[in-house]
Amino acid sequence: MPLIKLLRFLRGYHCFCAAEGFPERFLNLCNQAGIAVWDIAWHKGALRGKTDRRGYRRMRTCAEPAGVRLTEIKRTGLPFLLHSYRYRCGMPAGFLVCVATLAVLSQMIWTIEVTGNQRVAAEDILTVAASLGIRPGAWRKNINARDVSQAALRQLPVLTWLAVNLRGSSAVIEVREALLPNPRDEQTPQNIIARKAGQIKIIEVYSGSQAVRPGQAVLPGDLLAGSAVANADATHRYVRASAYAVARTNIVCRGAALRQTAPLRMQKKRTHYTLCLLQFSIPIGPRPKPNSAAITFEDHFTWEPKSTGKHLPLSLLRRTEYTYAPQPRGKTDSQLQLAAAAAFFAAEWETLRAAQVLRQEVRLHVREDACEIWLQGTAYENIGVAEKPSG
Amino acid sequence: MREHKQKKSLGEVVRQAGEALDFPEQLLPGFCHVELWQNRQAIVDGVKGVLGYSENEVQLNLGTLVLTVKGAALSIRSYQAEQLSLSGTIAEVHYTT
Repeated sequence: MPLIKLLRFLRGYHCFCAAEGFPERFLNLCNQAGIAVWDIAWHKGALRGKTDRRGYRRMRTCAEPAGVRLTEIKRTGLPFLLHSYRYRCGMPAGFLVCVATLAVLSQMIWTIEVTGNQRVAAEDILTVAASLGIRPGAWRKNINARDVSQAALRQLPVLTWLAVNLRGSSAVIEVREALLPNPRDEQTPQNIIARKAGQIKIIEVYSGSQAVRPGQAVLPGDLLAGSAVANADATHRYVRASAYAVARTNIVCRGAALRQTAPLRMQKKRTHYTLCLLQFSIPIGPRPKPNSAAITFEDHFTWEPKSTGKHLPLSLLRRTEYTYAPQPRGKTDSQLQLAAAAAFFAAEWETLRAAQVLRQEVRLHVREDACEIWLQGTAYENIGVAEKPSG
Repeated sequence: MREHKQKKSLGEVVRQAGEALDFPEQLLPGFCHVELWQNRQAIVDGVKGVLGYSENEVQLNLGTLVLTVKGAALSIRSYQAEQLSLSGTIAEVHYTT
């Protein structure tokens, strides 16, 4: 019903009063003329009702034959409202200008919000966004959110993710910052231990208590500097130990290379079946020629009825032969030694880059299939490492 | 003396033929549909005319029937194209053939 009332209001309607005469005949004539009437009720001896604008003009022709005196009570609806304002053009013009202004301004960005930032200032992000076109007053259709987010990420390397969401007249820039590495722990007590065996040459303890002396031999895992420090009042406190421990250690370094690097490649596969009945073997298909270089696998398939649990004297033998291609020629001796040398130097760099070599002996072993380069000797190196927490 | 047969109207003939062929009632001529919503509203289809209207009684011509609705504060909410909607406090509904 509210929708019908709205439609009637938009089309406009008249409230009329039909007095005297024959109201029933008047209603019938209106109905025959196709005039819609509604809300008809008696009021002080007269019939009151409503009809639309066109119906009211035609209703007068129905009133005369029925002897009804028709009077208009009031007019209601949008057409009459607009008609009363027909000389006030400024109002609809202002309304239209207001609507047009709203429609135009809603196509622009007016507020920009930055969310998700903690370390990076929102002003920095807004500055970058403004340089890329996202600023108050910018047209929404000119903003390509994907391109802007990618360009902003390139200009703000601190951010790992940035997205521009346009919601109406506001732009929301959501960012995620890169995670910082954990700050160095300076408080948790920790020991300094030896990472390899050697003879201590220099021991300098910066914090903690010294556990070894120069000249002393240590094994891997031995304590070099402890975290417990004795106070003057015979109590202990625990600190994070820090020490520089240089020891004379044995060094071993190895680099090797294989002559054959290509994997085996299967060249041919042949399958032959043989039916075995009692002690007879019946080949199925032509028997293959014997090949001494081939590798043969045999599979027996037998039938075992479930009810008896005994094997029948009937089986199928599948013989599969794999023939591998001859392996390509491997590296020459000089190529093999060069490959071993490259591997050796890479291992030497990893092992001795922080060591001072005292004595070294390099040996070259060239075998039929491989080449090895060994380095053995002694060196000074820092063997102190922080003990990993147990737990 | 031969009895004179009463001549049937075309609508009556069509109606009888439709009933014989099991046509839906809504499609047959002279069909009227009365719907009552509690005792507050009545919707009548097939109204040929209003015979009488007052606050306490409304008489409607349904073609072959006359429908009389009695009650209080009766008002016609709408009347258009053989459909009439009546509201008020309905006390009685009478059919007169």
